[in-house]
Amino acid sequence: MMPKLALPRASFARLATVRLPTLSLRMQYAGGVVVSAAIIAGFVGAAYRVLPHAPSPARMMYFREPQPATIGYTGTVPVFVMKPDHSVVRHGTAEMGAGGLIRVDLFPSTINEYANATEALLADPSLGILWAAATDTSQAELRHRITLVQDMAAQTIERVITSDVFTDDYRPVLRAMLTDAISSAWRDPRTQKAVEGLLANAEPALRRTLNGEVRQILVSRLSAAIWQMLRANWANAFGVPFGYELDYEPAIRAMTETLADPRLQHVLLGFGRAQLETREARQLAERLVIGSFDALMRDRRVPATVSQMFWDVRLRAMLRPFTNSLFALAGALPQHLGGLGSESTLNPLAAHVFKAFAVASRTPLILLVTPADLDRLQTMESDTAVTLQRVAAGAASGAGEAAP
Amino acid sequence: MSGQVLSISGLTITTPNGVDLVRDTHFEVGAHELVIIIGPSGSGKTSIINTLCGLIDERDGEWKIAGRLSYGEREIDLSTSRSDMCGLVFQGNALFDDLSAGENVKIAADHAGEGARGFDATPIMSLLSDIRPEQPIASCSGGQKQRIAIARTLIAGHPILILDEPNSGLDIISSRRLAGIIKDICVQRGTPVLIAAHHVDDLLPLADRVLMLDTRARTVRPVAPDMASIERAMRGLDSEGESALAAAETGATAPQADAWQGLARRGRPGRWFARYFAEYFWVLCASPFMLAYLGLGGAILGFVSIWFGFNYHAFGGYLKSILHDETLAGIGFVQTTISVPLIASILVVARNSAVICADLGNRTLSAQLPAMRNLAIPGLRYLVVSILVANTLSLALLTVAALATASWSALQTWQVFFPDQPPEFWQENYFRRLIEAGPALYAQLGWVSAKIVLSSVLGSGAAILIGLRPKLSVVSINNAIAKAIVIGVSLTLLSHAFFAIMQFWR
Repeated sequence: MMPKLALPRASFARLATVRLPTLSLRMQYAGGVVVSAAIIAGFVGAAYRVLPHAPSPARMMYFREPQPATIGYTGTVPVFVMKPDHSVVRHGTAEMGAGGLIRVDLFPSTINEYANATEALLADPSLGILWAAATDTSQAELRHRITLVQDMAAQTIERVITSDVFTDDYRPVLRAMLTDAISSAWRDPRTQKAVEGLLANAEPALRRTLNGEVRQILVSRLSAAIWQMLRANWANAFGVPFGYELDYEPAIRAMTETLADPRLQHVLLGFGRAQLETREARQLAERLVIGSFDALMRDRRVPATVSQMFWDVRLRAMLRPFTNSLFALAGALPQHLGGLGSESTLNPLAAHVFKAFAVASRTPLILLVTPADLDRLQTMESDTAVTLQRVAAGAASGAGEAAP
Repeated sequence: MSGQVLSISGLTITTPNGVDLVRDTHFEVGAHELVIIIGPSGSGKTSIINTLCGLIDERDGEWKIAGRLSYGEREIDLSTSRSDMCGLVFQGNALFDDLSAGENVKIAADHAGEGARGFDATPIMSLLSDIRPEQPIASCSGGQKQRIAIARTLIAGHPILILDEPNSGLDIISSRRLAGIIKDICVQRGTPVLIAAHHVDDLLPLADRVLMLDTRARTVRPVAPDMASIERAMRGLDSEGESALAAAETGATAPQADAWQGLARRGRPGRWFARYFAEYFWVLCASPFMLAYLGLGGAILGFVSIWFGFNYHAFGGYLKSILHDETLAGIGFVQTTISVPLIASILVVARNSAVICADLGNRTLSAQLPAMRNLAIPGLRYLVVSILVANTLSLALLTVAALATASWSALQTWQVFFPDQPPEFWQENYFRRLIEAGPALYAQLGWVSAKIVLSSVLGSGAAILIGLRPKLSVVSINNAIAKAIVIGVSLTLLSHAFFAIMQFWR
């Protein structure tokens, strides 16, 4: 008997011979319709998952900015929440009405997770809020680096600003920028509030005078006063946004000299030296310095001038010790304030602040925190943010502003 | 080889549906003998032939086969092995119509077994004396095609020759000539020849014996080789039994007696447009494969946009954070207004161009369109309008579906990068440019719609025109499909490029 004949089969041929279920045409069609319906349901589910949903009253919180409003923004602002480890994530959006009423719409996916974050801070996008939201470790590290910068700055700046090159080529430009910055700081509502506090005890007639022509004289003289103060505070000024104290004595002295101006003496007769050494006066000077720095950071001329100074071979040798320490600080800032770096993930608060710097935006932000975190932040940096007052939904509706 | 007998013993064939075509059947075909096997339509002649030639298709299901095939010293157990001893001339010839007449023969010669090398091929080639080797198959007559098929099978060197309906479609002269050729081969080469046929008038004079597949007894029995005996034997078979056999084989129940009542009455012709539209809409848009295809395409695009958009910034984590909002807003805007509509259009137009061209090409090749004209059916209107509307609707709906899966996939990928961030943050930025656009959003929607409509009309229009051109063979349909895909996709790319320039022309 001959051996059995079996044709060799390639492996792909076996695939072709796999028996498929045999259904009638009607069943095949019905099965196809069912599968298509399931896929379409998948599409609808995907669309439902990705599309924004309408706001729900159950997710709303209402706040009011303390009067008089210092930020006074109208429009939509982002809402963040601080987690227990001090990292920050987005938590919703808020609508700020013209009357100071703020409607916060929380994200459905985070509302339950951060239910204890009931306190709200309203803040401008500044380094101050990043500093406030930084961890203790990051703050300690930055303080260390700032100290290094201070040491270098104290040595370097004195050498630079006393040089002929600086006096002839850069001081006029910097003075112009500084004047603009001080003017901007002076116009800031928070500065005006500090002025009001300083003048609260003055005679009504004197207040009217100060709010009139005398203010112009005060502003021009204060430019010189602040400049003198800055000369004595170069180093500490870098740390102001992070809670460092300034030496205000030069500013106070300069203000005293200002008040000695013969044009002012007759109207400031009743405004004694003691008034200028009060807490309100210190707040005014501090507000002016902080506001001036804030304005300088937004001034687009500053990077150009600094760049020109940096590349100026006449100054470079003098600046090098300082710039080295400053670059080290600058390199540490994104990591410790923004949580940025090659291994980092998204810090939406830092992204909002840096974007505000980049596009000169002043869109404020709201940070929701627990009562315990609110106490800590207020102790650390009282001037960075405004604590919002919680109001009931019914009261918000009754106010007729931004009600749902 | 001469003098050997083909012997089939104990042959039982059970279909995947459990129907016995034959049970324990025996028959023989001697050397120099030409035997005709007849039987009612659907009785299983082709299945017996396929069994003898080792061509049972297991994809149809599990066939149960028993029996032995012996020829000379060789014997094959058909239940475990496939026979390779029988050369088959297929019904319809099964010529390779992408090859010329000469190439059809040459390819068989080049793959013939060692045993065929010693044959004298001259008698075989004499079958083809009136055919030019370079002649395309499509230009050959029915008789020429039959002779090419026979020559091709003989060249392959099988010791036994089986022909399935060899005279189907041939005129009487050609049919008789073919029978003479087959008989000559049988006699000269000593080859046993088995022919399955319905129309045996022209073959009977040359047949040595006639076998009949008895659908009652499920066996093969001899019948006298004259028409009167054959007709008598065929009449004796139960026609209702044949129907039941056919129904059992397909797994369907036999039709009711009144099943055709009412179909002959005149109704509203407009329903046929709906019928064709539904057919095309299902194939071009709503079938599971099409939906899954577009859903998958959108999902991959969403993943790629986010993965590479965020993963390969020059400054890595720094820019990932600082530029996050703007990067995501840009990706979302580009994806919804440019990328997804483009990719969806390419995928739909490429796939549907092939479907449309193949469908119309086959209708053209099988003369369905002239048949429609002959029956006063406005076929072109039904088909072309249905295709254009269904394809445009398909592209619009599937673009929306792809947008959904692309956005979903983008969100999932984004959450891989930023697992701590809430999805609403992604929503806020991904759709920001669209939300901020305000009334301009309608203009963007209009541009996307224009791209979709133009792509669909141009793509399907090209496929329709190419599909409706005359077709000579399946190969010409294949070539037309390839052409329709290339032209359709090219027109789609041009449409999108044109409207994208118009969309952002400032």
